Amino acid sequence: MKKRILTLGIVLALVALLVAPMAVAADDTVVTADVAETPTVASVAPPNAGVGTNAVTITGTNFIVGEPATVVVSGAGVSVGAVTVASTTSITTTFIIAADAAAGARDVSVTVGGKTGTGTGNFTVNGYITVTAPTTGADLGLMTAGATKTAQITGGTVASNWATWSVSAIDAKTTAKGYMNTAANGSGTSLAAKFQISKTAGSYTDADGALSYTGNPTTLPFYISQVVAADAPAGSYQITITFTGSGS
Amino acid sequence: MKKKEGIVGTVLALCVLFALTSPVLAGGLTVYGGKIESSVNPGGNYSYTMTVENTSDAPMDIGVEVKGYGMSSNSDFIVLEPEEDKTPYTARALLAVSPGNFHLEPGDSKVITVTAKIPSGIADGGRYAIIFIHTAPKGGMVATISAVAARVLLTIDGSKLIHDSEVTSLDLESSEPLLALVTVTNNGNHHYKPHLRGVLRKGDKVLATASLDADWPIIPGYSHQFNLSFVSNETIPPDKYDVDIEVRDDSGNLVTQHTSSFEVEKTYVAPPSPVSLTLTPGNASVLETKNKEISISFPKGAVTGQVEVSLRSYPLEQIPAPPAGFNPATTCFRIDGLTGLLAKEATVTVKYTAADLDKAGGDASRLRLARWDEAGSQWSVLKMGVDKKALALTTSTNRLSVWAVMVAPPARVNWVGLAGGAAAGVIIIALLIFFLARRRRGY
Repeated sequence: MKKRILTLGIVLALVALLVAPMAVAADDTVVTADVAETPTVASVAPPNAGVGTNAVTITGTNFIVGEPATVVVSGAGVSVGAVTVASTTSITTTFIIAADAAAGARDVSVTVGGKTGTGTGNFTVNGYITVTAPTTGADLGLMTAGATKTAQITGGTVASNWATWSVSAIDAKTTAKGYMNTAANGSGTSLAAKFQISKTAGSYTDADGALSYTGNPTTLPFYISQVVAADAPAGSYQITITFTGSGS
Repeated sequence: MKKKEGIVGTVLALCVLFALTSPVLAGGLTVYGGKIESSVNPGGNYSYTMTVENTSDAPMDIGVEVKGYGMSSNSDFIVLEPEEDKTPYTARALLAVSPGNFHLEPGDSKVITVTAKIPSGIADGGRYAIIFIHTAPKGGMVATISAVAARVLLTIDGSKLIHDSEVTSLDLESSEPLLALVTVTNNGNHHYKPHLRGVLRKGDKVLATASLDADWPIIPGYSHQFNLSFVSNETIPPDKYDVDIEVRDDSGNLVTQHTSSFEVEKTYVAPPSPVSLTLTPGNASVLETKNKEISISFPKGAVTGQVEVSLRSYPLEQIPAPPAGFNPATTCFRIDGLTGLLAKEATVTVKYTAADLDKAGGDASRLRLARWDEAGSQWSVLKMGVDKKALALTTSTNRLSVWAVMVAPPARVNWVGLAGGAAAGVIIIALLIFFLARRRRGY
């Protein structure tokens, strides 16, 4: 009898040993399937990029290999290419940055199993600025002593995705600054009156003080004027105006 | 054959699609990542990169140099030569760039590296410089250079940062809008973007307020002038008032404050409050200011879907330069809500003010309605009617945007036309007298 009871006890213990891990395993499976952990976004490499298609790696936690994941970049102008979950901590994809995407910090969000994690400001759209100095019509022709010569130079443009941009036009040389001179570096003979520049026909300012362009217009209207004294010595005079742009 | 045509068609369509969706930049000197703003440790070495691209259709010879970073009252940045860069906060000596010169064919780009070597005993505050990237001069007698100033703003980590400033000048203009020209000088050791607030008051009663959040920082040792436009909902009669100016840094800390007295010389009339309206394709609608000074009448079918449009006053000092020969009067407003064209033209009616008429020398026939066209970056001076009894200018438009009443140059006297007209008049009168005389004589 005792032997039978002992045998039954051993059998029951074996059954318990066999069934208990199975129950735990079953519970584990259910937990994993129903409650995916919320992903986190720790960093994006590279942390910044400019206009065009850029390969990026997102590092975080709770990504699931084999499960679809979606990535969203906040703000307008940045779309996301195909997403590959490389591991539970790494996602690779591409950020396609449009030319009109505003420069600055963006939030990157990852959604896995219906749960979304966001990294605040961990990717930055690089600012760009394109400056094209006006060149068409950049010639005053023959200047007559005792007269004023004016002209318009066209073709200047600026494009940028910075929040604000500014372009300054100035004679940047250090010798004979602001004057037309017989030498490009200002070491020759200067005309008596300063070379003048303007954004509109009239209301000119001296070329050694910056003429600033900012705001919405994408063209750089540019007018030039030179007063030639009656006793100005004959010669070939020149000046170089530098159009320098910068983003805020 | 059909298959080949199909492939060619598909390739062409893809090319067109690519061309339409590719980033479009104006051709010229393009710099990506052209600003370095970073915290650095004493004794540390740092490396930064930026990309230079030739987006023009001609080859470029590029030069890259480290220059000084300065400012002026009306310039957000100035590129300084070494002999001009005298501030103790210069970063010029700490920086090096590579390469310094290179050639770019159209479409080519180059990564340039900026290295910063920070001495271990460096003093507190910020350090500033400009990486100056430029083309060779183009042209002859009047040559031009395209350039980009990549600003460098370094903050010495762990140092004591001082944002001490003062209002070094405050000029007040009794114009519409009331304007304060405030010059702020940074006497501290670190840059910050100033946030200005202004209050116009009589005793304790606040009559108008102004605010401005600067986009550009003021660097230590430099000053910058800001234009503060005061906004008020009430009419301000001529009198003496007090103006309080307060400047705060990016963290909201008070940097400086200043009070000055101000005389309003002529009655200030508050600008119209913003108004908005939802347009629907099936209904005609009128968007107008509460005082009915400005109205836009949209006919039925002006829009093809539901669109919310709004109308608000616009600061005159922010409008682009007027067309050649024209000057802005005082009325300026903005209509928003539609970036494309209206399906049917709307009628815009603007009652010109006494100030508009003053600007035109009392001659209403010199007043014009001008519309800023974003796409072409230019003003369009529109054909319009002037109703001198109703003091109104009326025109029609197929787009919204910024509008301004402009003053046209005085009309030139056409002496040839005048003489011709007078001669014709004399001939007509002579003929009339001749025929009347014949009739009397019984011919």
